[in-house]
Amino acid sequence: MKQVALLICITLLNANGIAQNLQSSEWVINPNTIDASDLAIPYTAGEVLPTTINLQATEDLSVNNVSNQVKWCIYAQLTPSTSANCSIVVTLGYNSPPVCVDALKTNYTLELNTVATPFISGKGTLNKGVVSYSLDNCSLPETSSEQYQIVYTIQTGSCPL
Amino acid sequence: MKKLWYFLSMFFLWSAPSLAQPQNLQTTTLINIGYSNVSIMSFGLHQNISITTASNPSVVDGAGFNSALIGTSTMQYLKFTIFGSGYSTKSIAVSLSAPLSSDYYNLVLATQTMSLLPYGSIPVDHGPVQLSATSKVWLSDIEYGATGSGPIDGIPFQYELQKNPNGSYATLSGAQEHVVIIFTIIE
Repeated sequence: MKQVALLICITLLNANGIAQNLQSSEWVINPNTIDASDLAIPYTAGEVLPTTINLQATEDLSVNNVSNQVKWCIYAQLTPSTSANCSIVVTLGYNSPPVCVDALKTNYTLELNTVATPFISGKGTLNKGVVSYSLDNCSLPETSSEQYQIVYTIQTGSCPL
Repeated sequence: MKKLWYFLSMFFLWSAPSLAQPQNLQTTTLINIGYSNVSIMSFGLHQNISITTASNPSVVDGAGFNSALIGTSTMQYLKFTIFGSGYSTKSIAVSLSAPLSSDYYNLVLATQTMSLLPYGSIPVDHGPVQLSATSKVWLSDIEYGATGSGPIDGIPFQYELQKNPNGSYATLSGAQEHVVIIFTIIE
């Protein structure tokens, strides 16, 4: 009977582990509104938006319930949008533990597109991977708001080079 | 029997990490970008603009005010940056802060040839605009756009002093006239 209980516990642990591998700390990010202070020369008539706008927005990615020997790759993908005015770039900053991330196979700065692209390559538990967002190559906005939806997917194995 | 349970237990313990490996799991983040309703404008030249009239009056044509076009300013450039709002267009109107002191002449804003803007489409031109204390639309249908901020970027225009065919010579005075011209962005 004890053995049966042990088997059930192990099975439950496994199921729970599968359900909590990849997590992000934010669901919705609302950066500061982009205004005349963001122009290439702030508050200057005739100017356009600069090449890069730092959104001052971050979130934490984490990978849990994974064996220390298991290699994984987080892919990032932008869902298609018809109103996108800029490219959006995600950057991996501080990560803990640092040995978890494979620097050679990680794209620390990644311009997102609608195809899932390898982003972070790692092994074992990632307690915290801080990612920040910026806009690139913006034209003048035609509308007052835009949305970018980013999907992170984790798969076993290192990221392809 | 005990051996079998022991074997099964060991198998599950051994397989636990592999079963916990990532299985195409996903998480999603939505980023909302908001744009302020930015509309700013300025001019290429900030110094005072003058229109010089004839300096040698004669018996034949008085102060030289008989021709239809009495005088013209140097070329001016209106620069603007306007963010789109997605639901409305903007216009630029122009007016004088006070009526002219004489009705013998009109002050007219005359648009010169507009080239493509770096961003956005060319506004609809309602020029030439005869300036008065009543605001009149000069440029309209601007959804969004930026003219560039260089010294000769922007919408080119000139001020013209034109003879008013219905004006009275008696209203002319010998003093200089100073006018303040007001440009307004209208949504």
